Amino acid sequence: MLGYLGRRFAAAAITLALACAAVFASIHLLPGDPVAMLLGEQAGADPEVVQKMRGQLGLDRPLIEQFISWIGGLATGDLGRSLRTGEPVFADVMVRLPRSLELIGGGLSIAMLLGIPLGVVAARGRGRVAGTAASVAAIAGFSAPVFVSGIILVIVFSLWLDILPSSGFVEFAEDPTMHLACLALPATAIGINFMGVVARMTRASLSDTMTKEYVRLARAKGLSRDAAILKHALPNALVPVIAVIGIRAGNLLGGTVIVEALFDWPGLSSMLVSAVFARDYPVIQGALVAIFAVFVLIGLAIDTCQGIVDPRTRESAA
Amino acid sequence: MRNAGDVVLSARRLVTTFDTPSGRLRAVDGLDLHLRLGEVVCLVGESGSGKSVTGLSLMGLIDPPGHVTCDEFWFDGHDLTTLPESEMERLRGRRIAMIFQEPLSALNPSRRVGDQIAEVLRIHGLASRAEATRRAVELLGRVGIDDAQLRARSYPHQLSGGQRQRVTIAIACIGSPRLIIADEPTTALDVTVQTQILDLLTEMQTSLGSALLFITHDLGIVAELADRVVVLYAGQVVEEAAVEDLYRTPGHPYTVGLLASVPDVDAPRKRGVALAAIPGTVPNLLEVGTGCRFRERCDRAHDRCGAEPPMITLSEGHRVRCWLYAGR
Repeated sequence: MLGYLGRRFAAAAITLALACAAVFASIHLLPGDPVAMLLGEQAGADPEVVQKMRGQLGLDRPLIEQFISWIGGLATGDLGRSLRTGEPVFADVMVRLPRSLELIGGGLSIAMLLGIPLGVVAARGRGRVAGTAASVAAIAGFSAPVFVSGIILVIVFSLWLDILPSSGFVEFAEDPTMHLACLALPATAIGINFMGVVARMTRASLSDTMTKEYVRLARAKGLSRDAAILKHALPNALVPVIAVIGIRAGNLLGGTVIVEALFDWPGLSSMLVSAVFARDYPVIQGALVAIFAVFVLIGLAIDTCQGIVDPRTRESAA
Repeated sequence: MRNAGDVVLSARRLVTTFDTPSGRLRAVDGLDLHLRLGEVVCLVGESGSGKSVTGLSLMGLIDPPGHVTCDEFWFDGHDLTTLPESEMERLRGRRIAMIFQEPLSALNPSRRVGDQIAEVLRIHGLASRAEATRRAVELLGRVGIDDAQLRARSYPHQLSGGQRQRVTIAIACIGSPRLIIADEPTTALDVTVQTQILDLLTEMQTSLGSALLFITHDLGIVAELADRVVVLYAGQVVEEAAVEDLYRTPGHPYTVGLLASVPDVDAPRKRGVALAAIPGTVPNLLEVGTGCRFRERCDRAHDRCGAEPPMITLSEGHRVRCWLYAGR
């Protein structure tokens, strides 16, 4: 198991290094000039001012030099300063990243808590009312865009029931209860959307696993059909489901823009989007690197989970 | 039925049907089966004859769209025609056990084999966790696995095919069942390993004093193993006899054909003479009408075969479903 984890860890480090290079390269290929943005159109017309500004920001140096100094900074946790605000990017990322992770973590937990049982019911009751109802619920969940389900949640829980705030953010340290109350709706919006995916995956995977001979043997041992499904089929069926959840979790990190905007949640993806509009290179780079790092870490966590659940992965994976 | 001595299972007119989009398929059609403690009965038939479905029907493991009915079905003093599923669960694994054809797919890939054996005792509350593990390891040694203590902690993929089948035999035997149903347990194994597994199976069966229903298409194994043979064709029993009677005086043309299709190594070899084969294939069970189901392939078929053939007793324990013996 340790050897397996070591190999996964090495692979993760290489992936991250390559990702950093790709981030840097792709951003400098983006059309648009940050200096022109910063100075506004009028001043942008004066080539001397522009040149001076570029020099200040270090944008006149060759790309490779910029890359080396950026990587050097990365190693020491220095992601540069925002071109707009002059604030250190690293500090900003570290403030916003946990908020996004919290949102995604909450969303995923809700998705799994609802999606896996829903998938089990759908697979178990195939061709029966309960199974069909579960399938329909799953499809409804992921068919509704987050801005629709999010607004419905706001209408129900904020306007009608008046038990949760419709949007906003309060630091956990300031008021833990309020913090969680603010988190509840955006996390649920993500969770409901993702629940459908989890339920469908669970259903497909479990339907297949249920027909395996070892599930039949489990019943031949004296387990009831349901017990055989839960104890023998489900753990094996969840292996590919976990993998998909992991990949999707990484995607969510950059994709919670709509939810963050809808619920006024100051996370990483809203930061990334505004930085892209402003061509604020250091902030874009910093945010992307943070997303990649989390992506790779999630991958590592998934591999670890799979290694625990499925003993065969530990040996076959190089 | 319990007083009938050592009969452990007795089924009369067992019918297993499957509802398919193209109609109701009768996979097992009116099977009579009586098994006594200590005997080995071989259920013989081609693919599609309904032999595996019979095994699962006896275990009560036929799921919808399948459906089992039986005029009379006694097992170990229980009337299985009226026994609720929860009671049947208490019998499975403890009183009646099954061994499957493919040991790799029959074992859970993510559970240690020792746990999978011990689970039987845990399910039925027969032992504490520690006690169950201890007995599983002990049994693993008895079924011929070296280093049982260590091997109990292996996963199925780490064992050889023969070792895996030893594990499933241990699973079947740990509850000391009255009846073991083995569905072609050696088909997936190397020939050299086959013999070892057969020896182990009969050894375990003898020491438990249980009945063994051995499902196979391999007549070589039947000759070696069986006390009694039941020949199945297209879901029906066509012949039933003690093993000596069946090989010496096979009654049904199908049995005669089956026996003729086994190469005889003792007979002088004749160059150019093909091994006898039964022409044709098992009929589509959706299309069987009335009459003998073998008549299309039978070289002794005549007019009367269009009507349902009667089951005729040739001698003590030797029954055959064929018009050839009617009115003798």
